[in-house]
Amino acid sequence: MKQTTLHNLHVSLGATMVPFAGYQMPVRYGSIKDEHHAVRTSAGLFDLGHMGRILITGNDRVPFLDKLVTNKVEGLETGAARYALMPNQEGNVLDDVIYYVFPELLLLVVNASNTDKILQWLQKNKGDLDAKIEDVTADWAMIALQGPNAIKITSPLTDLDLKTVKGYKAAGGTVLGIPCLVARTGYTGEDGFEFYFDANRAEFMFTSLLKAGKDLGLRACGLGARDTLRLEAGMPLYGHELDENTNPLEAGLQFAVQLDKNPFMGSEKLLKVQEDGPAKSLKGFFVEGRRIPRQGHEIFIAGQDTPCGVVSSGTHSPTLERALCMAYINGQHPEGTNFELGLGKKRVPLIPTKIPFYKRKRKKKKKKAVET
Amino acid sequence: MAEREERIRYKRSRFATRLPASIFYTRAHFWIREVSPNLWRVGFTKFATRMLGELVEFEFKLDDSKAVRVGHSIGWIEGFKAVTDLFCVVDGLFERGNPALTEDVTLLGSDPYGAGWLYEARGKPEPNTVDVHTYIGILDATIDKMLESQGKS
Repeated sequence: MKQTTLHNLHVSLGATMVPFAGYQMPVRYGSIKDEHHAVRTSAGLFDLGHMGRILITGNDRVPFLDKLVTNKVEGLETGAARYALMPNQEGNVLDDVIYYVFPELLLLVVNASNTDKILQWLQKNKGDLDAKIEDVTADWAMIALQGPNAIKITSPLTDLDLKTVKGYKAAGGTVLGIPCLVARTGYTGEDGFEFYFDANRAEFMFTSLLKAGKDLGLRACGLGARDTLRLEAGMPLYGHELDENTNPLEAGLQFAVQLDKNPFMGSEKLLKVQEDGPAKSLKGFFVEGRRIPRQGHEIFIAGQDTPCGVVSSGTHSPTLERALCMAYINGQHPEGTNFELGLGKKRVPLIPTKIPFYKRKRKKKKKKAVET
Repeated sequence: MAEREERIRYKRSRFATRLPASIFYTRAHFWIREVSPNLWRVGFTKFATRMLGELVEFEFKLDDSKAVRVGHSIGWIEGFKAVTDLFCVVDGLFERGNPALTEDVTLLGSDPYGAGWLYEARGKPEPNTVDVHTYIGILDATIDKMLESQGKS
């Protein structure tokens, strides 16, 4: 079992450690709900040392990655970040990824459980292109500071003007004097940052950030809160909403699929899916009662014995204070169809609702001066 | 149970609790208290609730006879991350679940030895129950083992 460079710190902070994707990771330090609320109302700090981090360099790095992901890589400016799917030939999802564009290099962040698979996939599809693939997972630390107070906590500690690092942008600078890639990305539905830097400085960075944000309500958060936060925000998790039997259009990720760019792996299949309509689609539901829907629970149309779908993720939402789930529903059903969750012999009514379940309130943009 | 009963302070690593001195404990981290002759009240220890994490729902599942046996599942309890079977620690008849939990399941964690009890049953408690001092030894061994498996002493 692998450990991140912050392992001993987690244990000394009282974390409950669990195996996750080959790593021992903190699932919670105290209460998952408290950690969840901290991120929604103030800020939370996450060790993401398990995520796979891959550097792609070489003159052909951009066309190389562009060929393998659903979103655009060509034409992006330095400092841009994008979410994308990495499909196989069938258009189904090998992984969901984020990549950052920097001078001379691309940083690709993949799921811990898929790191080896994606490294092999990249090598296999490199061909004669001038692209070098380097796994820096163990050498770089990755921690996320998420929540409305993230900017207030980080600003005094960095030489960057964080107001210029907008959503889905990244910049190089220092944080606490440590050279750092600072990205305004995350997986919680809140504003916040992800920091990439030398793994040897991880413990200093984590403890110093915790201390700096303590009075503002910052707390260390585990994978438990990360899961409830991303689920409320309607973000997919590989192995739940995404796998090699699911394509991005079924998962409702059209925003990350640019079918009008140059052909890419699986793009023909995806064009066909777009034409024919997806075989299944990801839907959001509230659940009556306190029971938590879990991955694999079946969904039925009221009065029918054969399931029409299956839960991909479910939780009790700490923000909305009710049980909810995302589920794949086969085929098309008219509005007003009564869906039920199967819990053993019991059926529990489901209330269809839009994904995301939770959307943060954004500050209103200042109106442009009226032209005269 | 308004009178104050003796409690023993316990702390190891980052876990602390105040264990009632006059009740029985099981190796699976339940406590058992005789509330009237042959009527046993059962609850989770603080350690059990710490391990289970936040609890959201529970249900007792019994057949019509309400007969229960030590080690048999009498229902389930659902936490954030998983559903766990509730195993009975009394041979005899199930009397009632704690009605207060229906309103507020978090009592299990906030007042585990008091208002957050789980159920009452008539009969004989499991034979391997231990007193508070032996239970403290069990806690020590359990926590040490957990620390060891986390690679930190």
